[in-house]
Amino acid sequence: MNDQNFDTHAIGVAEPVAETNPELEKAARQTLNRLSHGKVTHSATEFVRSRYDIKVDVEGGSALVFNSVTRSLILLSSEEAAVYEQLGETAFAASQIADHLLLQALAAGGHIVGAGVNELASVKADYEKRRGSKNTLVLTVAPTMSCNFACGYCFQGLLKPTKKMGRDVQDAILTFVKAQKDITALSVVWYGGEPLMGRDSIYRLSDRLIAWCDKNKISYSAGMVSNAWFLDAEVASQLYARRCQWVQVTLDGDRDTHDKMRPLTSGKGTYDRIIKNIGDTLDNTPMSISVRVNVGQSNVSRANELLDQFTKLEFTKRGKFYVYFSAIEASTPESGTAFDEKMAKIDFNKQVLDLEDRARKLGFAGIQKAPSSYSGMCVAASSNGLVIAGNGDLHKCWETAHDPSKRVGTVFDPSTMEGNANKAVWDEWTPFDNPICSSCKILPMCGGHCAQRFLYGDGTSLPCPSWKWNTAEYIFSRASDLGVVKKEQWLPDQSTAIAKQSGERHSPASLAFSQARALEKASVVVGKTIDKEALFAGEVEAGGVESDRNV
Amino acid sequence: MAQVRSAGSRYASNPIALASFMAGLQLQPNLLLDEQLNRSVGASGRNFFFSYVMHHVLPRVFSPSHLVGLGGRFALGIEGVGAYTVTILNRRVVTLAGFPLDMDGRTVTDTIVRADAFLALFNHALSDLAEQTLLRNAPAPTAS
Repeated sequence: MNDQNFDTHAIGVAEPVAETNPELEKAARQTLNRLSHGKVTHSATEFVRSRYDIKVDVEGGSALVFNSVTRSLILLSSEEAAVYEQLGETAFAASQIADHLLLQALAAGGHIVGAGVNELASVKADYEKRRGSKNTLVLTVAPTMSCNFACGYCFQGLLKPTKKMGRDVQDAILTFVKAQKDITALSVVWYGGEPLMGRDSIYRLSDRLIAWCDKNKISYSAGMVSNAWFLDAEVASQLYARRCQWVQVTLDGDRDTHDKMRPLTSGKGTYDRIIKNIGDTLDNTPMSISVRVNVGQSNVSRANELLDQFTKLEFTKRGKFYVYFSAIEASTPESGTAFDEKMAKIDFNKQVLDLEDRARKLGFAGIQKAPSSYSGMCVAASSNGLVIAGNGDLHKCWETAHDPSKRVGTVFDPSTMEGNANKAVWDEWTPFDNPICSSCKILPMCGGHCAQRFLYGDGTSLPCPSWKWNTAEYIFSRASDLGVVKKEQWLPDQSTAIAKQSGERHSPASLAFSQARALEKASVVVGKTIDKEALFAGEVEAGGVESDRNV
Repeated sequence: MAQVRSAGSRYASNPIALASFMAGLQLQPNLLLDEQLNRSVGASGRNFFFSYVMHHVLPRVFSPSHLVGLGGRFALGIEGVGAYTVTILNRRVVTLAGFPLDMDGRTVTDTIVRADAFLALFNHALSDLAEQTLLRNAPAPTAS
């Protein structure tokens, strides 16, 4: 609908407030800014289809169109889908779409953009801005790398150090946080090993950090990744009192399956106690429990039994309880049985679609939705994100925290991060340097997803999120749950594995290319050549304190 | 709105009824200051935007006298989203979830509109409101 055809009397605009109102003026400008891509006027010359539009054909000729920048999802009738298809990849004039309401809907959803708009540059600018944001400090803190479980596939290996974080490290962390002058928020994830084996450190550090944050009007939030062995009602309450809002717990199937995959170091089973502790936590605190089910060759067929058990226990009625599925991957050389357990991405994603669908039906997950930001904006990618090991070593990634050779500095002297080669590699990596990510249609909601896979992977663990592998299925699932399409309208040839709606996939070669590019740029930053062998061997630390402690 | 009317039943099951209903909207500039409305546009939650507009915005901006002129009640369906009854209650406009029932227990529907059409109409109205607010708040030209 353009101005010439729009009847302004159909929808009235009442007389405004008489005085000039700067706040109102600002709000009006922001509204126009937000809606300007939806305002089609005769002065707009040419448009193109968004490069981030993903179309899923539906039975009967209709089509779902999803845009990964705006997250808009619309259903086009068969006539509208034909018009949309005819637009092609080249620029077109607004007049080429005779249906003005269709034009308006496409523009409002970001499905068509001005022909002069460089969407890739726009996404890159947005990504860099978020990555470089200094407002929130994200810390993953491991009070110990010790663990009472012996999961065969653990990427930290089975031989774990036993030392716990001392007061000196805690005080250094507090000093580090106090030195961050610009932050408005602090987000802490307690990690390990098993973090509750060092819970005294968690309690003390939480108390000090919360007091400092409250004093300085810094918003504080926390969560935890735990095996839940120690997470009884007492401990859960203590954590909740220290603003720990969520805990992620792993359960790998029904009792028999889980106990084989995640036993105590003594070999005994852990399932029953974990289930009890989850129930007690839900009954006694408002903390949310998110159960991660690691799926591999040997347990994929038993995951449904676990969902049945959760239903029987009525976990969703007792509190905030969620379930999600993750592929077992051999992400580090220490990953043990993961090398045997891992499934090919295509196989995993095919199986997990059914599991996710069932989890949704049982109330363990909400309807499918796109990530609200970049799923790859983790502590490793964020410029203001760090992992702190129990001995004070600073890392960028959860998956290197057990390996001192990959540290980026020490919390006792944060200046050690400057000129550190490991850090430079993390900082210089970007998804925009490789053609697969740059051309991918889900880049605006992915951002590369997992930098660790690019930098330290062996080329066989691919970094892409499940949205890459199930693009069409997720789009259709969301539309179906919203009542816009019926399940029977799914067309098998639209399967992502066949139609590859999101674009080309990574390969060992593309990952190697991305790694090489990051090493090349990091070499310039630190002023000496960093090659792949040296990076993996950990011989490239420039300056800093050598750590002979392995906590 | 003219486009909706001329498109027959393509965007709305009864475009004339929809046009009659939309004529009752009286958008005030202070609607632009509604933070929740601005946030809800990007919300990925299930139909949060539509729910907010129908239940929280519409009662504030709809003319009670116009609704009386429509019979005191209007049953609007947004396809794929939900059903709403806009009604007069104690001289105020309120929006209830669901369609009303007639004396025989049958559902009454005045019109069902496509969600994208509703969104386009609302955004266009908001955009016009913003433009006219800026025009009317612009400083008066000084004498030369």
